Formats: sequence, C-alpha cells, structure tokens
Amino acid sequence: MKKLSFIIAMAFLMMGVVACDIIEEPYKKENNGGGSSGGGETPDPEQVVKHVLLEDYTGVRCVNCPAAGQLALELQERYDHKVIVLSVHAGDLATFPPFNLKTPEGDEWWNFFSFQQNPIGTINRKMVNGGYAFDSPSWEEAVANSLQEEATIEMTADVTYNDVNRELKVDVVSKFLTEMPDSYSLTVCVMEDSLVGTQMTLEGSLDDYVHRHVFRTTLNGAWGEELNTAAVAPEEVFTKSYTTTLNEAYNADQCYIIAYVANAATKEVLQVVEKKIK
Amino acid sequence: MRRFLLSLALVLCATGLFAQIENSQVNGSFQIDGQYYQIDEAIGITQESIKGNKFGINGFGKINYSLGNFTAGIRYEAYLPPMSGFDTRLQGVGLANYYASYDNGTISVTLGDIYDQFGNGFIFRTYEEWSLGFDNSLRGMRVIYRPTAGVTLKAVYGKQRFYWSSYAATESRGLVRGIDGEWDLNQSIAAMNSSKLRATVGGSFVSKYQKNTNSTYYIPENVGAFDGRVNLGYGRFAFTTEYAYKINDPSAFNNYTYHSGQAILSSLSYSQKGFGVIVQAKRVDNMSFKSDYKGVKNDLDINFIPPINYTHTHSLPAIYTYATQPLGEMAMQVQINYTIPKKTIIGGKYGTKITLDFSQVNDIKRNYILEGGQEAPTHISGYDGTLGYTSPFFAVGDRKFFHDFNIEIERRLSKKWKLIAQYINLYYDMDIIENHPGAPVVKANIGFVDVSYRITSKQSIRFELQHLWDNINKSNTAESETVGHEDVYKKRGNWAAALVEYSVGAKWFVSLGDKYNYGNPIASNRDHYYTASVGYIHESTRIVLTGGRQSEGMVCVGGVCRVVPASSGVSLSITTSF
Repeated sequence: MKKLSFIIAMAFLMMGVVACDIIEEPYKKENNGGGSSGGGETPDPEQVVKHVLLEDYTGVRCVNCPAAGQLALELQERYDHKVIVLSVHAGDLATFPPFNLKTPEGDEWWNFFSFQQNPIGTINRKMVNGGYAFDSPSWEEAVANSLQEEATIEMTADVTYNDVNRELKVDVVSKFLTEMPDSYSLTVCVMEDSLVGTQMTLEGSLDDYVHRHVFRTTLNGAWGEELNTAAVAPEEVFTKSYTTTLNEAYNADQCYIIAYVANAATKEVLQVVEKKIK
Repeated sequence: MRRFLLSLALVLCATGLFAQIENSQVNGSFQIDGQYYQIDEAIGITQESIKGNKFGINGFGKINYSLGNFTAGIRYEAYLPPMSGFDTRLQGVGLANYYASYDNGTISVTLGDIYDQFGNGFIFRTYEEWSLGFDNSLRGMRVIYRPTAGVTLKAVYGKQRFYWSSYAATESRGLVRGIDGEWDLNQSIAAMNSSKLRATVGGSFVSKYQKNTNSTYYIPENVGAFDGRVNLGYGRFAFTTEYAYKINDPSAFNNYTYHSGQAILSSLSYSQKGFGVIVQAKRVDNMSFKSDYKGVKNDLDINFIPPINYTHTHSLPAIYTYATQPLGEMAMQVQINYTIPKKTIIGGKYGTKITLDFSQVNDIKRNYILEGGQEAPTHISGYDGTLGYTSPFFAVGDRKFFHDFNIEIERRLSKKWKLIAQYINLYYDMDIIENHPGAPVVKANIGFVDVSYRITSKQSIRFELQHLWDNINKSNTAESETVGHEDVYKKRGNWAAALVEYSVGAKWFVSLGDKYNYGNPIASNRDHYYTASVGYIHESTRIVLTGGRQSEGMVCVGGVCRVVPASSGVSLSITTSF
C-alpha cells in the first residue's frame, strides 16, 4: 500500500514538472507575415498560391463590427492580398433605414450558416466543430492555417466593363491541379469597396463611415453554378462567362469581381480570385 | 449422461443469470422541451428572426444500469432544431454520453464520459446543465483509489465534449489530465474521530495539452494549474478556503496575454437554530481555463468559478443576474438569516424568517504594462502578446461590476395565509456582464410580495406582485438618445409584473401572469409579456404547457449564463424519471 501511495505521489510530482510550458519573451513570432510562403522559405514562382476568402458578416448597427472589419483589412494587408475579404451585411443589426446594405444572397448565407449575431465570419467557409462560424479573435489563426494549405485549383478572372451602357462581362477560368472526386460550384460576386454611409460605433453614430469590401450581389445565384457532374481529372479546365448590367447604385470605379470555387456539398471554398472591374 | 450434464449446466447458468438480473437495477430519466414559435412583430419576432424554424425541440433520455460493483449508463440527446437561445451547434441527434464503471470501495475505474470536480472546481469541473445547453464532460478514463479511510486519490484523463464534434485525434482541441488528493483527518486519525474539530485538506494538479497551430504567438502546449484547499469546522463555525494558480495560458478569451492566473475563495460561517451568518470573499485573476486556446464564451471550459451572489427566483430580479467574470473580479458576500421566534410580539404566532444579503463585485486592480506611447487598452486583459498587467493581490479595482443588497421577510400570517416580501437594490454593469460596450449601468430598486392562501386542504392560490424601478426610464431618457444602441435598451426602464397561480393538491396547477416593461425609453419596446401555464404532476412525471410571450433575458446557473431571446408561442415540457 505504501508503495502504491509513493507511486501516486511521484506521479503528481512528475505531472507537475513535465506538464507546464513556461514561455519567456518574446511571445510573438517574428516572421508571422509570410502567408502561404511563410517560414522564411523562398516562394516558388511557379507554384500556384492558395488564396483565402474571409467573409465578414457585419451590420451597420453593430458597434463591435468596425473592429472586426479593421482586423480583416489588417490580415489582407499582412498577407499581401492573399486574403480576399467580403463584408456581407446580414442579420438583425444590418439595417438602419433608409440605409441598407443587406442582400438576398447575404440573408440566404446567414440563414444557411445559422448565424445569430455580428460580427462573425467564415474562413474559406470551412466547417469547424460542426459549424461555419469563426469569431473575429480566431480569424488570425484560421487565416494563417488556411494559407499554408496547398492550392488545388488555379483561377483567373478577366473582366471587361463598358462605361457607357454599364455592361459587365466576366470570364472565369478554373484549372483543377489534381484529380478531385466531388461536385464543385463557381460563384461570382460583385464587391464594392469604400462605400460611404452610416455606421454605429462605440463612439456613436457616424454618417461618413467608409464601408470596406461590401458584398453587393452575385452573377449566378447565392450558391453559384455547378461545374462538374463527374470526378474532375488533373489539369481539367472549366471556363465560365457571365454578362450583366451593373446596377446604377454601384460605383463602378470601386467595384471588384470576387469569384470562388467551392465544394458544392460542404460549401468549403477551395480557391478564390479578385479582379477590379475598371 | 452427457445430455443430462449439459442440461444441468444450462439450468445452473440460467439460474445464475436470472439471479444476477434480479439483483440489478435500472433507473433513468427523460425530458422533452418543445416550443412552437409564433410571429409577433410587436416584440420583434419576425419570420426573419426565427429563420423559418417554427419549432424548436430539445430532448434527452438517460438510462443507468447497475449490478453489484458495476454501473453503466448512456445518455441520448436530440435537438431538432435547438430551441431559441440555445447554441445552434447543438443541432442534431445522437448518443451524447456513455460510461461503464467498476467500484469495489477501494478502487474505482470509469471509462467513457466523466463528470467530476476537484474542490470548488477552480481548476477542474466537468458537468452538464440542461437549462444552459452546457456539457463539458471528459471522454476518457478516471481512476479513484482509496488506500485508507479518509484518503481519496483521483486521476482523470480525456478530451472534452464540444457539441457533436468528433473525439478523433485530428480534432484540434486539447487533452485534459488531472490528479487530485483529499484527506479527511477525522476519518483517518483515530484520535480525531469524535473531535469537535473537523478538518479536510486537498490538493490538485490539472494540465491540458494542445498542439500550437498559431502562426503569430508562441502558445504553451502544456498548461498546468495547481490548487490547494482546507476545510475546517469547529462546533457551529466552519471555515473553508481554496487557492488556485495557473501558469501562462494565452488564449482568444484573454486576448493572448501571458499573465498567470490566480483564484482564491474563502468562506466563514456560523449557524445555530434560528440564526446563521456567512461571510465570503473571492478573488479571480485571469482564470479562464479552456482545453482550446481558440475557445470563446463558455466553450470547452475545464474549470468553474463559483459565484457568491444571492440567487433570485422571481422574474423581475432575475432580469439582471450576475455572470461570473473569469478574467478578473474581487467579490464579497455577507448573508444573515434570523428567525424571530414564534409566539413573540414581533415574530407572531408562527415565527418570522428574515434574510439579509449583500454582495458586491469589482474588477481587480490592473496596472497595465505599457510600452512607450501606449494607452491603457479597452480590453480588460491588456495588449495581446504581452504580460498584460500586474495586479496587487489585495487591491480592489475602481470599476464596480455588480452589487445586490436585499432583505427578505417570510411570515406565516395564519393557518391559511403566508407572506414573502423582498426589497432588492441592484447595481449591474451591463457593459461588462452582457458584453454590451457602452451600455449604461443599471441601478434598480425592486420589490415584490408573494402571498399564498390555502383554500382547502387540497387547494391553494398564490399571488405575486413585483415592481422594478430603473434609473433609466421613459421620463429621463428620450427615445432619440437610444438611436444606434437599441440593443442595450431592450429591457431597460420600469417593469411591473403580476402572477396568480391556483393549485389542486400536488397534481394540478394553473397560472396566469404578465410582465409589463411600461417604462422603456423606446415606445415600441413597452410591451406586455403575458403567459398562461397549466401543469400536471403524477408521481415522477411532470407535464407543463405554457403559452404566451417570453421577454429577453439571461438564464444563469452557477454564474454561467446564456442569453434568452424574446419569443412568442406555445411550449411544452415533459419530464419523467424511473
């Protein structure tokens, strides 16, 4: 019995010694801005870079949302625009009549992802622990991790815009780099950047707030267009073209196309590309 | 002959089996809570806000089986979809928990999902709270060893439940391992067996392991926490104290600060017939302890910080219930219970119970460690990636989070009449407690009377009248001042509430009630929240049907809270056990 008690006492002691990691300064890693080519390695110019779609579900009456939006912007800058930000105005706090940036697609995504409060985000629409939600404190890590994944699709977008009749033509080429067994869809969105309007903040209501990366609409529905029905072979290329008339309410000088390929079942975004309209 | 021997063996086996089955026990319980949601635009319930889900159902069933030293159990849960206010990640059905255990008195081994706690739970507590949708059970193994009378040694190891997430090794949340020892001196030492002095000492160590996948910070992969406790009793006095220390544990919850954590809770009490007093003090500094450093809110809590506040059960005081602040709080509570003896002039024929309670919670003192030009951060943890702040152990922070002064009188007026009355003075920092930055503090006075009348030996009727006077009201706050901050004014302003409940024996009850937020500064929020309930109780089965409106509020159990959004409709709750 004494022997057993001694063993247990030693176990206590051992656990205490080995199960604690005391971290000394510096606490932050120095080389944390390298994105997918981080870690000090020289990037391979031939290698296709995986971009990350950060959706920021925001609202004009959400006083905590500007901080989340600022974080999204910082991440985009830190990773040399390998992070593509889409601010989706959705949820109870997203309207402040008459100022309204809500969209039917945004509402559909908000409901599908079962979000309840802003600010909240998705990172490549990846599911974690049974849900799509990433609180803004977790964006930094999730983005960094997603950027380290290998790209499986290479995407390019060509955009032509006619200032006179506001006709917008978008061609998106998606080249699959490996064999992929599932069904995939392409969604093409219009994003308007730096739109000035009302925003509630912790300091009160601002009428001249600059809304960044505002999602406006899609060219092919909330969930896009299906690309394949059978497994995709390596090097297989899908080219899709869309023509539309740009809504008069959008400032064409500030508009971008954001196109992404996602797994049609899981909704996970595998690659995303952004292109300015003008 | 061989056939005879085979038959005999079969009969003996069957007899043994039946004898075993006869000695076994099965018990369990079931609960189904369902709600039908109705569009009610007057209180902001729209098709959009209920997301098209007209029903929410939460249900569970658990069955335990025991045979001699062996026990096993399962718990099945269904959320189809979860009721409004519960985390949507609960959606789904499945076998949530299971376990098998063997205990021969000296040694006990449990495999499966473990619920346990060390001391008050400062560094380890796993539990399930149905009303919160909270379950942080540990799937793994527990060994309890009792080498001699009064000595208990425990070891636990496993991974915590996180909604319906898999327990696979690829899941990023961490492993939890802990060890605890407790020594009851009165049981162990013969000379103390009948001593007036009662003494128990205990100590624990808990560590979590989680791989660091963070690209920005050097996150410690092994985080350890230590705990020591002493319980002493002498005659009518009792003294308990517990202290815990946690090493650097940067997380999303504490804004990635490397400051160590500490917690202490001490309690001194005295009780005799008709009189009792308890004084408690608590200090908590950066003691959120989760098995996932990315966790926020109540996700994957390994530990539990007990609250030391009065628990109000009536509806208006419960609007503003304190939620424990693991990042830092200095709290104290004094409670005095006194029964004025019966058959005295003041005490009356049946005696009068008086309860006086005061509790207050402040922030801890924080001296921020700032680099050149930095100003104190708005986040109470400090700047990320730093030691955050220093904090003198006994210093109290300037910011008050909460206070509750209340006096309650309970008196039987006659054989038929009984009265309970309470006055409450409340201070509630909504900004901190409900995480509503910039929300004005609630300074409220609340009073209620609760009167019961026994009509016959089987029938009784009960009335409640309550009122809440808020410092912010339609009379002193113009609606224009609330623009942009509508969220923090949803339940502000004066409230009045009334309820009448009629009971027949212990079997049936019917109640009608209304809460009216008549003083809300926003005219459209001055709503009635009326409810009607009917309940039936038979042995261990309880069925309650409720219709009407529910106001937005907080449900808190043990200082852990969830927000309950406003709703309208019909709900049904069925519970039974066997």
